[in-house]
Amino acid sequence: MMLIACPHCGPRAHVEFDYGRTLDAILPLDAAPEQAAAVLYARDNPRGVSQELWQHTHGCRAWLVLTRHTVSHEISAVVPWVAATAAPRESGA
Amino acid sequence: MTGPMRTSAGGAIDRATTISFTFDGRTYRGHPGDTLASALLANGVTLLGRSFKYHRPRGVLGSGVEEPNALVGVGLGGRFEPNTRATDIQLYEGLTAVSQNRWPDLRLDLGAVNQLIAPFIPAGFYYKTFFGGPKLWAFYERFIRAAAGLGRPPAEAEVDAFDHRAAFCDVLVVGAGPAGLAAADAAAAAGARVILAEQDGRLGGALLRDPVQLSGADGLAWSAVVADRVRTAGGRVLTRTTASGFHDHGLVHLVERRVEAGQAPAAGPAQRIWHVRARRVVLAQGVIERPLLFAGNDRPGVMLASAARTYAARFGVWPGRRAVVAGGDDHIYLTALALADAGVEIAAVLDSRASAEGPLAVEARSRFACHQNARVVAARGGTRVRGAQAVAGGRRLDLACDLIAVSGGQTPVVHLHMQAGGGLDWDAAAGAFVPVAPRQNHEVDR
Repeated sequence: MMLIACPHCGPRAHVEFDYGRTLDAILPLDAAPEQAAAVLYARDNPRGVSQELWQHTHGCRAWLVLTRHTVSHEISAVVPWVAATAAPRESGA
Repeated sequence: MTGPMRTSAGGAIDRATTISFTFDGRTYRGHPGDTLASALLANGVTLLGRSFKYHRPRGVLGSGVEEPNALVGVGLGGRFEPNTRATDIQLYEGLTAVSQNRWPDLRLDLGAVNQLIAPFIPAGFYYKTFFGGPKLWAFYERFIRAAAGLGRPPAEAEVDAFDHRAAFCDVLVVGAGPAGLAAADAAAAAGARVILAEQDGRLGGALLRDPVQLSGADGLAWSAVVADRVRTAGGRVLTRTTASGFHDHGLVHLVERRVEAGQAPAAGPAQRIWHVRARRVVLAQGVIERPLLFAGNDRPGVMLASAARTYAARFGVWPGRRAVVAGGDDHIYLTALALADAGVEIAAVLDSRASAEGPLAVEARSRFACHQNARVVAARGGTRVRGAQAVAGGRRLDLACDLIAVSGGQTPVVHLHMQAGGGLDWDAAAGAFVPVAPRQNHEVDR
């Protein structure tokens, strides 16, 4: 039961949030089937620091990028997802 | 006087008030402040159950949640609760308890014949041995099903409500012994929001069995003053509340028992789960005494030394009238002296060490027969202890007694610390694995 410090709402229990995916599993909309399979099914599963996309579903509904240690569950950074890159935005699944 | 084994004075019980309860259909009397176990012991009831497989007689070994033997069914109808520790139920008017795993009754238990055929059903013996075609199995199954398990599940649906609640604090202290109380006191004085959780019905921990002067006052009086100070500072003190899980980022689950097992709540839920998010957690859960290994060490009348002291000091109950105290550290002398002061005759103190020169040992030697290089070999007796066979310096001793108080050392309660990902290290001086390297944001009391 992690505590996630939402930049908008403050520290909240993780039951308020929904996990999206790791950043390296974000798929371009026009990805070829081989590329999609590689990104979705053959990605890394690190024992250590992981960059993840979470949504504060039962709060401000913002999409957030968490820097989280997969063993200790230490969350070193929570920043709002900014669609500044060329990567297309998640539809929100 | 509530029972032949009740002392004439002393203990944290309300002797002016008498409450009645039943065990296996017989009515007994006890006092507010008793547990079911202490009230039964006061009434001279030492046989409380039968073991799982061989139906060996079982009594009271401990005095709290560490109790492995005295498991009973409590309550009626939709409030029935099987496998409840008699040592962890606070006595209430009308409590109804039944023993388990015996037929037709506890004294005359036909399942005890398993002890005679024990050589043929070794550890690991499995019911599948009886497989032999569907017809044969259908025949065996009735008997095997009847013999399986300890308690019976309740026959009716639960009638009470159960509640949960979220809470936040700066410092959560688990355990209200002297260390936990001092930690809560210091945190509250520094302005922190404090929650203090104690699974017992009373604050004080070890102070309840071993009277100690703290800050110039009686230990229990000091506990009450400190708890009041914590409450006045805005802190919350929860009794009958057990920390059951220590999860990520300081989330601790507490189970608060608002009523005892089988008891009807006057209003509101029977139990409440607290989800506490704490900035810091202090684990001050104390120690559990280890038993000793010898033949018949599960016989009713064999008891942890700390439990024997608890029954004498806290409940005003003689755990026995003539005791052998055995172990390997100065707790045995503390126990012998405390029991003797409560009016128990000390048959012998058996110290496994070659010598003991502490002040307690010196005093005990001046009052009782104390043996070095000594240990218990076997407990004699049937459904209760009648004596102890011992070896002292190579010489055999046969001691008549009805209580064998044992102390095999103290083990810190590290369950929450371990569950939260912490480590353990062997401490030779303490003779125990002690908590190190906490992984969550918590402190461990050493």
